[in-house]
Parts: sequence; structure tokens; C-alpha cells
Amino acid sequence: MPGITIHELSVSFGGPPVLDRVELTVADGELFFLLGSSGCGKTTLLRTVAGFQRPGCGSIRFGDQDVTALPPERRGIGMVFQNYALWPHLDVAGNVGFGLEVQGVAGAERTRCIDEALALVELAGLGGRRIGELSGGQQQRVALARALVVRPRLLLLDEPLSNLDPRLRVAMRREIRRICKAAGVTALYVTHDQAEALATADRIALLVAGRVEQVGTPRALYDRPASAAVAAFVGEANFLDRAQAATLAGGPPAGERFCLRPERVRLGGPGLPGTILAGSYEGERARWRVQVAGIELLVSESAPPERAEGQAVTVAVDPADLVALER
Amino acid sequence: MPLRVESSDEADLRSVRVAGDLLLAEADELARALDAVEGAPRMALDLAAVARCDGAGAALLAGACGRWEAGGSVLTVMGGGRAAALLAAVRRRPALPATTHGRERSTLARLGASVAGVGGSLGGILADLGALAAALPGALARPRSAGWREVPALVARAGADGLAVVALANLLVGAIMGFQGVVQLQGFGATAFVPDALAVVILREMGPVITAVIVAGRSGAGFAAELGTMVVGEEVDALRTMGLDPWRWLVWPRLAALLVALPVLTLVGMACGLAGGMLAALPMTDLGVGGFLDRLAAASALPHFLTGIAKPWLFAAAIALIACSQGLAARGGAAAVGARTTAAVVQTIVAVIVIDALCAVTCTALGW
Repeated sequence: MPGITIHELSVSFGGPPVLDRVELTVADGELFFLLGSSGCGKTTLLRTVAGFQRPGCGSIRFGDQDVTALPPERRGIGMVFQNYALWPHLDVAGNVGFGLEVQGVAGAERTRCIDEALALVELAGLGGRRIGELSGGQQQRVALARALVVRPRLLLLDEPLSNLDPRLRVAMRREIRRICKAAGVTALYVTHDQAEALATADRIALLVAGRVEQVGTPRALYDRPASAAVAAFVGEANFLDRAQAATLAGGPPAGERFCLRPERVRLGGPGLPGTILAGSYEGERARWRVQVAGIELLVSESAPPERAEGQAVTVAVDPADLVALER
Repeated sequence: MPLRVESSDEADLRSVRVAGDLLLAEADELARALDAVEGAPRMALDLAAVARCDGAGAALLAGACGRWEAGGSVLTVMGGGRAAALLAAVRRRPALPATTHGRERSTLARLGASVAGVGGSLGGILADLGALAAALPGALARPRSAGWREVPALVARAGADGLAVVALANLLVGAIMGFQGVVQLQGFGATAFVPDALAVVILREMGPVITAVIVAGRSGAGFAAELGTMVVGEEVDALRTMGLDPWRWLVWPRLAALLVALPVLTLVGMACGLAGGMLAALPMTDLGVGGFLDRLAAASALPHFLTGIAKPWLFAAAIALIACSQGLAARGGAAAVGARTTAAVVQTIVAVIVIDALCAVTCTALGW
């Protein structure tokens, strides 16, 4: 199964470009996330890759084949939609087997493929159910099975978990990753939920205002954000200029602006004197707003001891935890 | 967190430190505080201590920055992740051009806009016709790629389910025509010609048109709503990812279903119309059933019938094409489906009447 190469892709709906010269390469078999806030162009990018949207310029290749001019029906993709887009008048097996029927796969072969796909999404034996009888999570599994049963070159997922309740969403993240890896499919996954992306992706592209801000593994995006926009979107961050960084951590690394993750700040122990301004206790951790040397820091502390607003506290920052921002 | 704006001068640098919440609720306070800060040749705006910032805060900051820079300041923004990012976003955004959108426009401008739009809608109709025609060879060559299996169910829904209302409407229209015919012709002592009048009116015009208008209302609205819902629910996209062209899979079966159902319905409508006319006219005249039917036959009813039964195919094509393309053009949410359905009903009914008028003129010119 081939990967995807997107080159100089621009899309505009008559105003300023929605996608601005996007450059991306997705490896074969990779689970690749497009992450960004609403309106950043991630869904447009997905729909352009699917073929629903014609690009103003640029090209899209699946492996060696240029698909830029092909309509969606000839791109060999499977797609999972935000609201599942299942056909309510067909049962589960009918939905899953529909693509096979269109391809002319019939009889025992079709039944076998449907059973395999349903087993993959752990819905074996529910082929006869009506769509309306399924829960949201089950419907999304049916949608996945329907997309995968035709052995697509590429699986596209458009915010597939946004209609599920939070607990189910967390469980389905693992499921989607397991299913994609078991099917060995190259997948492009759109979400605005950074936790979902960090937990599930092989690699993530963060989109800001129609441009790719940074591409990297979840760990790279979190630990080494290239810009303030990335640091602010993926997790939480304190932003420091050089003088503030020098005050807090002694000799900061080269750079003018720095990002400091809240959990990297240590409270108690040797350090600068500071004051707790405000805080919220969240069980396994607490988040404090701490004033130190005229700088306000957001601090996240795991297994937090009892602390009160206005209490004096010592604050220490390791220079190695300061990430210099390129932009 | 309370809002603070402090400005301090060091050498030639004026530092403006903004702290606390920059939210809509504090907008008044923030605007006053920022207005109080004069511009200086070199300025630094420090947002590191901003706790929370929303669009209102960012807009006010952007306004102040713009004012200082217009006064010749060289400005640096420091710190404050989200606030700085929002500020940058607001400032990057070009000023919106003056637009007439949503504002009152003069009658002349509206007229101009609607005339200018005619070309676009004609182009749209041509494009839809082209898409429909382009989809036919594939739909015939690879029947599995078109939803032909759906056709019987669609015929049943458009035809059989609509039979009663078509029969009733035509019966009533026929009765009205019969009654009015007798009343009008009585003055000339020409009630014997009521069947002749009915033959023209019902077979040639009213039967086909009334039937088509009812089908436009029922099936046109149904097709537009059904396809619109599928588009909005991304079901059409799902079909396309499976390799199915919506024109082949959804539109042609509906067109085919109407091509079958509408002529049959029209036949029923004509029969009911004539029956209605006869029921109304018989008690008021001395023709009798036999005489009435004789007059009908003598009134060269066949050419009228042939013209009348040729038109439903045109009506069916227009209704299916307009309704389906309206449905496929739905974008957005449920509201779009409603709007498209309304548009489909209005346009299909207008199309039926326009086609009928063109047919009347053409047939007269050709002497049919």
C-alpha cells in the first residue's frame, strides 16, 4: 500500500487561501494525524485528498500515481465520516458489504469478507442488526469496517470520534489504532483534539491558518515545538523571553523566546522564592499559578501536596527544560 | 484576575506591561487603560502576565498597536502565548473591504444582481444536464454502478402511492370543467359541445399538467429532501468513496422511475378528468352516457390524447433533473435541505407550466 505525497497544495474558496502551499509526505502504513483548531483547513485538506475538493494548484500522489485530477470514486479510498454516514435502510452486513457488492464480489466470498471485517472491528455476529439499534461506538465500528472491507489504498478519517462520549472516545482511540495497524492501511486522520492525536498518531502535522506549522511524532511536537502556536496548541506552555528565562534557569540555551511546559517546573526543594497566586486541584495533579521573580508561571504538579493561595513556595527550572522557539 | 496596564520608560524604550484577564467583560476598562498610553519611538508590549485573553481583548490590543505604529512607533510584542498569538492573528487579518453584503441595496442594484445571476443559473442547468447525460453511458454499460434495482420501489412511491391524490384532483378539475362548460355553453344552446371542450381541456392540457404538478409537489420535494439529507449526512460522499457516481446511482434511477410513473399517472388522470366532466355535465344536459361518449369520439379526441400523453415524459425529465440537482446542491445543515426542497418544488412546478406553454405553442404551430 502506497503512502501519500502532497506537493505545494493550495485551495481557496474565493477569498484568502484555505490551504496555502501545503507540503506533506505520509509513509506507507502510517497513522498520520492532521491536527488544528477549527477553521485551520484540516478538513479541507482531507477532502482534497479524498477528491471532493479540487485544489487551486499543487499535486497529490498516492505512491507513484498522481491522483490530483481523479474524482473520489476512482481514488481507491475508504473514508470514515464524523456522523458515520451509514445507510439506515441497510443492516450492518448490508452496510459493510455494500462496497463489495458494487465491485461485483458476490456469494460466499462477500460473506467471508464481511465476517472478516466485522471480526476486525469486534462486531462479529452483529451482521443482521439494524443501524438504528447500534450505539454510537458500534456505529463508528461499522463505518470503519465498511471503509476497510474494500481494502482501500488509503483510509481517511474525519473527526471520527467527535460524536462519542468522552469515555468511549478514549477507548475508541486505541481501537482505531489497533484496527488500522491490523489492516496495515495508510491512514490520514483529522482531529482538533490534541490529546487524541498525541495518544494515537504515528506522526502529526499541526495546521495553523492553512499552513503546516510543524510535522513530527507526538513526542517531538510536545517536547520540541517549533513555534509558540505549536506549543500553545499541543499541551500547555509558559512562554518566556530571554531575560525571564535567564532569571528562572540561570544560563538558558540559545534563542530569544522559550517554551516551558508546566509539569517541568519543580515546586519545593532548592530554588527561587515565589508565591502561589491561584490553583486548582484535579485529583492526580494540581495546576498552580505561581509568581516568581515578577514572572507568572503555570505549574502542573503530580501527586500534589496541600498548598494554599498566597503560600510561599520555592520554584526551580532546569535550563534543559527550556525549549527555544524558532518562531 | 484583575486587569492591569502599566507603562514605564527606560532610556528610549517605553515598556507597556499588560496583566490579568483581557476579556469582553473588561473591554471598557482595557480600552480606557490602553488609550491612556501614549506612543513612543521604541515600544515593547509585554503580554507575559496576561492570564486569559479573548477576541475582544486581542482586538483592543491590536487597535492600540495600530495607533502606536501609525504614530511612528517601532513595536515589539513579548511573551504571553495565547494573547500574543491572538493579537498576531487579529493583526495579520487584512481589514475587511467595505461590502454591501447583508446591507440594504437599491432596487436597481438588486435587479441588476438578479439579471446578472441568470447566466449563472442557466449555466448551472446546462452543467446538470451535461452531468446527467455524461452519466448515462456508464449507467447503461455497467448496470451495477447505477441504482437500477431501486427503480421499482421508486415507481411504486412516485406512482402507486400518488394514484389516489392524482385521481381525486383530476376528477374534481374535470367536474369543474364540465360544470363550467355547461354553464357557459347553455347561453348559446350548445351544451352538446361540452364533450368536445372537455376533450381538448382534459386530454391535451389539464390532465397532464395537474398530474405533473402533483407529482412535482410529491416526488420533486421527496427527491430533493432525500438527496439533500444524504448530501448533508455525507452519505453521498460515502457513496463516492465506494466508487459510485451520484448521478448514476441516485439521479438516473429517479429519472427512470418518473419516466415510467408519470405517463401512467397521466393516463389515470385523464380518465378521471373525463369521468369527472361527464359526471358534472350529464345531469345538466340531455346527452346521456352514450351520446356523451359518441361526441367525445367525434371530437377527434385521439390527437388531443396523443399530444397529452407525449408531454409527461418531458415533465418527468424536468422534475427529476431539477429536484435531484437541487438536492445534490444542498450544503450545510438541515436548514439547507429545507431551502433546497422549497426551491425544488417551486422550480419544478414553474418548469412544468413553462414546458406546457412551449408545447401548446409548438403544437399549434405544427397543426397537431
